[in-house]
Amino acid sequence: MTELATIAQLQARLASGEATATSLLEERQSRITCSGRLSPFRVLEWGRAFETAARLDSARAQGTPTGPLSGIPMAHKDMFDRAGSSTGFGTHRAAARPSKMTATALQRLDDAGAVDFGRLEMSEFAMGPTGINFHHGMPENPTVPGAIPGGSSSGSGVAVAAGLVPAALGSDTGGSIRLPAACNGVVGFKPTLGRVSLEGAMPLSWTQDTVGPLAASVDCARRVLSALTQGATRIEPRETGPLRIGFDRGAFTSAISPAMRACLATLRETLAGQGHELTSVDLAFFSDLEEAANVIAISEAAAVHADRLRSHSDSYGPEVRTRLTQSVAMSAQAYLRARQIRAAGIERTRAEVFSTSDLVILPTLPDVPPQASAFKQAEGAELSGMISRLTKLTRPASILGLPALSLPVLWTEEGPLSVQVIGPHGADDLIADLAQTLETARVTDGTQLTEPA
Amino acid sequence: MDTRFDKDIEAFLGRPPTESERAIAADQAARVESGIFANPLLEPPGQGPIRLRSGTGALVAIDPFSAPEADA
Repeated sequence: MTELATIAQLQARLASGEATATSLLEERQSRITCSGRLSPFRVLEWGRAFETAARLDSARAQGTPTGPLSGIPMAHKDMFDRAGSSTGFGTHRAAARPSKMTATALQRLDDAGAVDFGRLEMSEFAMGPTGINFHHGMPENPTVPGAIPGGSSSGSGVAVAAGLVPAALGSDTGGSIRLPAACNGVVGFKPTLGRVSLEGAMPLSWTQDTVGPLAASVDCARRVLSALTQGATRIEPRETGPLRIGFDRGAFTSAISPAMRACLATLRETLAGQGHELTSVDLAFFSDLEEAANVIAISEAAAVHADRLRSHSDSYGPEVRTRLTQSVAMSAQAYLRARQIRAAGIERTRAEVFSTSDLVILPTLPDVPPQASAFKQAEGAELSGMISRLTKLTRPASILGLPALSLPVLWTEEGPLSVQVIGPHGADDLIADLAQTLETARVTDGTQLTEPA
Repeated sequence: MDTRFDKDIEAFLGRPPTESERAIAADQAARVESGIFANPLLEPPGQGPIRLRSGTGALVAIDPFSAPEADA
């Protein structure tokens, strides 16, 4: 087992001359093309990547500045447009379409010197928190054997956890960055709603969609977020001083496991030891946001897919088609009421939660990552219930538009236990500052992966 | 399940729904009723009609017979 390589470590190798952008790509290519576990990649785009790497190596040799992520190998969820490349959206391969423009998020990483070498698997149209994809199967979780990789940014979580990239873009509408981060034991940072441009990214639910990084460390996530926001967020951590850190009084988190309960108790001791003030907050009303989040997400997704669904209904996997069909039961009144519930929730969170706490900590999952077999065997109402439990703790930050960072804080024999640090709108830097004090080392077994078909 | 509901699903999918798709849509309709139209976050404090508050769109209660300052 080796520790995951971070952006800072790769940059040190590049700066010392021990590695080049080209050699870092070659290292990844040699691992991915060997036989082994199922790859998290849908497409590998080595040609363009090696051209970019060669250009960056040449610039470095000439002493030309090449950006804060210069030479860093990255890959991203397969939902971002790139001119000359084909976006797959996790759906039927025939639906992949070539792009004429490059998504703003990818362009900003390009401008920072990152080397994008592939497109990562995802849940179909970013709908589904397990990472199980009807068309493409399920990328294998390298951290917890047999567990789901989490979704919808499944490939991003797996690629980071396998040590193939120090960071990868994902998107989060109900937990799709934080859930795969927690399932694979890495960091996932959902920024404040609107912080990162969605231009050229696949829409799912415009009221809740966010783009952000899954990463090997909080520092890696900060570096990527800073590039995405063109420096609007900080890379360097700062001393926070004593903070008021809120924990749920109990009702909203009543279903968490004994292991997670013990983990939170340990975390509270750690935070108190760091000089922070612990506060008890009543988050029971977060449960009242659940159906509103669902109605907004499904209604908006149905609007996005309406034309295509009518003409290509059978190209959708059955689970996604069924979820979209739920929208028929949602009237315009229901959608608008859901938006009002959201507004009331935002107001109540401001008045009751962030008036007494600077940040709040919630578990990301109720327990260690669940086994995939349980989801594959379930159906109907049982499956719906399992999926609701999976997203219950991540949905509030999504519908409220709040920044939230998930990180593993305890490693057990059954897998990592992760928590989310959640803050008010715009508190992305403060969240990262606190999270960086709670990090634990993450290791990988250096597994070799199979090249995608 | 009424005919209008069936027609709505068929128009959405571009084909008649399966039994499973029809059942799930009906289940969703029931959940919307309880989770959206009877949501505690929208319970107005007091009696009387409700109105939209500009800016947030949140619902607040007003008593049309109360003094102006009571509505502030």
